Amino acid sequence: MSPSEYRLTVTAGDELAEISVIDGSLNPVTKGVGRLDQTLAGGLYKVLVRVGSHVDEQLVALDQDRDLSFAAPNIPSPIPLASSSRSHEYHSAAAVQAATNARDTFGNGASILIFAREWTADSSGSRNNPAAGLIFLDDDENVLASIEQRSDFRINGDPSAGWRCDVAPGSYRLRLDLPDGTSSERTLYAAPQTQTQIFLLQRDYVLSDGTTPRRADFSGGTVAISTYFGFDPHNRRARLSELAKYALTQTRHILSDQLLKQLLDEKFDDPMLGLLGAHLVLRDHPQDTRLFQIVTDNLLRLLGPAHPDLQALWLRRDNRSGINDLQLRTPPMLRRSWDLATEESVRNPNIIPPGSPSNAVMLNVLPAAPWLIWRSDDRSREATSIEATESHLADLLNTLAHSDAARTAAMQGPIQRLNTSLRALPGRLKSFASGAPAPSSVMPPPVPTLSVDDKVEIARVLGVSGRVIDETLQRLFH
Amino acid sequence: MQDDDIAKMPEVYDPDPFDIVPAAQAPAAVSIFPVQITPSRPGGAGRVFGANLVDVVATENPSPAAWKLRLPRGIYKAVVDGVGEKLFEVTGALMPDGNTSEINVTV
Repeated sequence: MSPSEYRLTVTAGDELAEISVIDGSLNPVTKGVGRLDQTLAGGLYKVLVRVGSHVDEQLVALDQDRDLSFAAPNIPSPIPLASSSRSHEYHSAAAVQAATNARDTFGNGASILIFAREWTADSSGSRNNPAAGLIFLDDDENVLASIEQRSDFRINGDPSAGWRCDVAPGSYRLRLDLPDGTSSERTLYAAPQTQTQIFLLQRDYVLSDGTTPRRADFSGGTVAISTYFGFDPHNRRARLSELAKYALTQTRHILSDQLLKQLLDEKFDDPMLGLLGAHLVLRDHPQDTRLFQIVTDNLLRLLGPAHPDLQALWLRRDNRSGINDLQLRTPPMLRRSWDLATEESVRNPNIIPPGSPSNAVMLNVLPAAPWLIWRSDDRSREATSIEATESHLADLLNTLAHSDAARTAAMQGPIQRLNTSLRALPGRLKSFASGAPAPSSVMPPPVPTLSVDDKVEIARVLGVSGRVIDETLQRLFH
Repeated sequence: MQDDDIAKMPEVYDPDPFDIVPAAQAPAAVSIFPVQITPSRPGGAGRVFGANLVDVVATENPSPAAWKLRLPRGIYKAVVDGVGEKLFEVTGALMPDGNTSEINVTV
């Protein structure tokens, strides 16, 4: 160490915290996870410590050896972790007990835990049952239980409702019914010899009649998979899972490679981490096909070949041997998995088979992340869904047509600028979508030529399959 | 040209000339930003050190009660003799209108 070099030690207080150091000219110089010990040239630095969306920072003058400590931030998680900023000890205890004692049995070989709770800093929350409106169903939409009625409802402090059932491995649904008759659903897949757990906090819903009932935060409810049929509030994997889910909701690469490696190393204990990690590998390191294959091979051993999220991931493997049936008959739990399936369906329409539960929910998928949620009330089952899809598709094509027209005009010169049929397309599409009279035009609009990439983009944006895109195009233009 | 992320031809956007969209005036490129250093009590000479803690990028003797200066993005140390020292960062952030906001440093 030269005389002008000093030692910088940073202890984050959270072993999962990502530490980054930038120099006085604001250039990154070093990184670490949990703890950092580095010799650096004397000077001014900024140390950033990030856990999920929480970032702490501190400026430091490195004119001598420095030792910085950062307190562990609390993560706002629906899981009643001991380290969460939104948890009470009595919630953690209630979840531990709920995970252990089955209140209903519909089969054996797997288990489901549903744990809903209210949270306020001073335990002054509503006294209502936090599981109000939550219904557990099988994959054929048969109601198996009302969680509100069957759960262990506790109101010592902020209320909680915990319910475990034992089931045969397979796909199940959780539905939230709101007082105005609207409802939404999501998948809970019970893999063999595991307990699939969902944890939900509460939020206010603004309904069309002006009322604001407080119910389970359905899209914010987070899923974990326990291989030991229990819940541990001190489990670091649950914390890691929260960070991974946060990373998956972001469009940029925010999880360090070191933390991603930790996440993948932990997947044997919580396969949900493996699913999240596989998606992050696919997004952030798409060139690393070997790592992706190793991760998904391991997940196959843990979850079995029928898990819809794993089936969706399998579609992105170079080597697809290992899972013979890659048709996604049942919706996956993660929205990112659904996107993989709809993108693939542009090239292979049979990925989402007609008449399957997956196909049935397709037109009602809600814009949520990281979980796949869809509308499931009677109103959404009516024909309005296909009309909405047509309208959205028309808007997208409108945008594409504008962009194509501009590009074509720029490349072909002024004559073609005024003489391209694409110029007429936006108005025609709008009239189709709105039902208004079409603008005067002699020729009907041609069916726009969409490349595979265009369709993949549309499938991702609208959450619909290639078959639906093609059928909608036919309806719009014939 | 082998890199798929690099376009093989320029991306040209040719807006419809009949679509009139008022454009916001682009702010002039700003490379230095206003800083005000306020000693908490009267003191001696004031110095601002740069990133390497060696170069003095600004000095006033004595340090004024409201010392105004302009600095490029970076991390600095302000020292006022007899009063104290303070690290501060010039982030280069701009206001929504494109103007710079003054960074206030109390020593």
